[in-house]
Amino acid sequence: VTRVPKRMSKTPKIDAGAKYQPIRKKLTGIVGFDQVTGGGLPEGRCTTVMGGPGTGKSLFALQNLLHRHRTFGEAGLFVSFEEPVERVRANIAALNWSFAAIPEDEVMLIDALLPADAVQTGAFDLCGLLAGLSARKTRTGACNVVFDGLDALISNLNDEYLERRELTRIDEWIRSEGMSAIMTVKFYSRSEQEQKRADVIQYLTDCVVCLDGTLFGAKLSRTLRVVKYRGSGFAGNVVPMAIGQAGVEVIPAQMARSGYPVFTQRISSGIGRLDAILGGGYIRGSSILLSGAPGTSKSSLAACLVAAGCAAGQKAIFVSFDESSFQTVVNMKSIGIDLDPHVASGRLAMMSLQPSALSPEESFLQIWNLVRDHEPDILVVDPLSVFADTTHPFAAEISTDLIDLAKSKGITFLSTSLLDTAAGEIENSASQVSAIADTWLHVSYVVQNGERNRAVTIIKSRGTAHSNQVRELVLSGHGIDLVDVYVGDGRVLLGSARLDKQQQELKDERVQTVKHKRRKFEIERSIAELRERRRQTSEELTSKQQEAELEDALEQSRIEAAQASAAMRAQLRRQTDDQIRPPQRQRVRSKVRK
Amino acid sequence: MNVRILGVDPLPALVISEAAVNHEVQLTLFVTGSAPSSVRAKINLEKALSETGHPQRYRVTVIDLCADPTIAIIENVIVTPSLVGTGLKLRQVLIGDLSDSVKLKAFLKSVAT
Repeated sequence: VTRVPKRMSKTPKIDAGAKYQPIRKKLTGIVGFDQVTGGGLPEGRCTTVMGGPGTGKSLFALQNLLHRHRTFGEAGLFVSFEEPVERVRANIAALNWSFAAIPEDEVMLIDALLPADAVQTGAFDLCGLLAGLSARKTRTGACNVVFDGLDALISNLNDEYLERRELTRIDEWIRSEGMSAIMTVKFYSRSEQEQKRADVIQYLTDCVVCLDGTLFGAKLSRTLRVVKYRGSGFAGNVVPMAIGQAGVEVIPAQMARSGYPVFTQRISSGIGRLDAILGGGYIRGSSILLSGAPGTSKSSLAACLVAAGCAAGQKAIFVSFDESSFQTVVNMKSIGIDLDPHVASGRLAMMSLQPSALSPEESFLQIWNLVRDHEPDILVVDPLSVFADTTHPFAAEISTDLIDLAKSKGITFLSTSLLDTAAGEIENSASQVSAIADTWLHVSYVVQNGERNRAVTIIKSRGTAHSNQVRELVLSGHGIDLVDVYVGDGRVLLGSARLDKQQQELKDERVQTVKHKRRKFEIERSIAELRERRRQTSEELTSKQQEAELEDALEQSRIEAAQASAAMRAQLRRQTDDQIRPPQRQRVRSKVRK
Repeated sequence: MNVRILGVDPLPALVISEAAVNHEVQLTLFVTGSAPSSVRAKINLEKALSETGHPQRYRVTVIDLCADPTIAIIENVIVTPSLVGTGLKLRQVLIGDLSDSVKLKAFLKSVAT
């Protein structure tokens, strides 16, 4: 009774201390895939890559093999069951892997095609091949092996049991040799035999990766999915991938949206007034969305940013989906934005993509490869809505991925988005880009009095106190400018209506001034008249007063004269009276004469 | 068989002894140790050769790849058992445990002519 717990307590101690080791992974060099799997494929184990024809199985395996050779100096064996090695070699030469530079001994391509005229009589096994591989391993020290198109050979066995036996044999060989292996197996999930083979392979191998290609319209959507990964967590989602010059490229969706470099520094939008209403320009490393109907000069606004950035010594990329790079340069020149010197100095890289020819993933990767090579400060994608317009399953994710990746590198990202509502009343953007974008400018048409005018509004601008006013966007041969719109009388006027109104106001103002001057003049004149009149009146008054004084004096003298004459008369009378008494009257008369 | 030709063809150069020149047809059976299919192939080949009535026309060499895996590289043997027949005209390959006696006899006949 007492011995049992003793043993139990003893065993885990040893195991935990000595034997437990987390699974070791090795990077495949396919960046997105290494992210999805958290470090690549398991080391010293077998991985199966399944998928239909043309889904990139062989490429995936080869890429991993070459990456391990290049990065870790590990030799590898590539066993081709389907294609002659010359053709494999030619296929790799078409990619930019500089495969020819690798010594044949270090990445060995092994032809495992049965001779065309080989006749089969009964069961066989793969011991011969494995013996040969063991010998090669001893010689080259290879630790990676790829079995490419294994199903081509083992399906000759025409027997489920025998197939399973050979698969097990390979698996055992891989384990005993301690190699990291990739088996690629075609899988259409059409026949029962394939399904059974897939089942066997899935439990035999430690990691299973499924590649798929689905047509959406005329575009192929390539996807990758990690179906299982023993001893490791993994993102089991379907992730988009693409095949290009660099081989297989995987775009991991759902990247963590945190840990971005954050900037407060502003960069000029290239338009002084716009900078002013944005509180100093766009924030560096932020994402800007320019939405609007066709022809609302979204591209021109984008070009302004690029031109200003390049002029300030920054590097930029202008990706155009609508027109060729050359056309963009010529068009921008017409409104006074000259991109030529920046292209010539190497600061500006221009790229034109055909959305009809590329899937969103492929476009994304082309852009991203350019970003990696050019290391820009500013990235413009014109328009980003080509991704959102398609029915492609990853279209929306791709656009957000693009923003994410730009942010993670501190690149100021400006995208334009085409909206078909020409009037621009509905300010919705087709993708969720508008939600992720930090700054959203909307350019719309305002139709008034028989003309269309462009109006810019800042719908949002994170981290910025911004104006809520609509501005009029004016294009001229000297570039773009923003003009305050006429707001008043309960109306918003733009364009010639605004000009009319402004001139009318000016005229009215002048008329008012003139009127005022005339009124003032009239008043002054009447004041002058009144003053004159007052002067005249006072003169008249004075003369009247003088007249009155004269009158008084006259009256006085008349009175005095009258008194005098009365006195004389009185004297005369007395004299007359005296004549009656003559002596007296004579005397009196002589007195008067005296 | 012409020695010069043997020199060009790696198969006879490796496995054919001088005595083999006397034989018209060279048969090489690649096996791996005592794997069941290899053992079956050996038995089936012996049986078929005796049934041809002219076993002396065939010079049979059995190569065990487990014993000497480098031969597997040089000969590029993919599956075992493989029977390689080198006649005057052609080099022909028969794969599997040779259990189909009709196919095996046809092979022996065609390689000898």
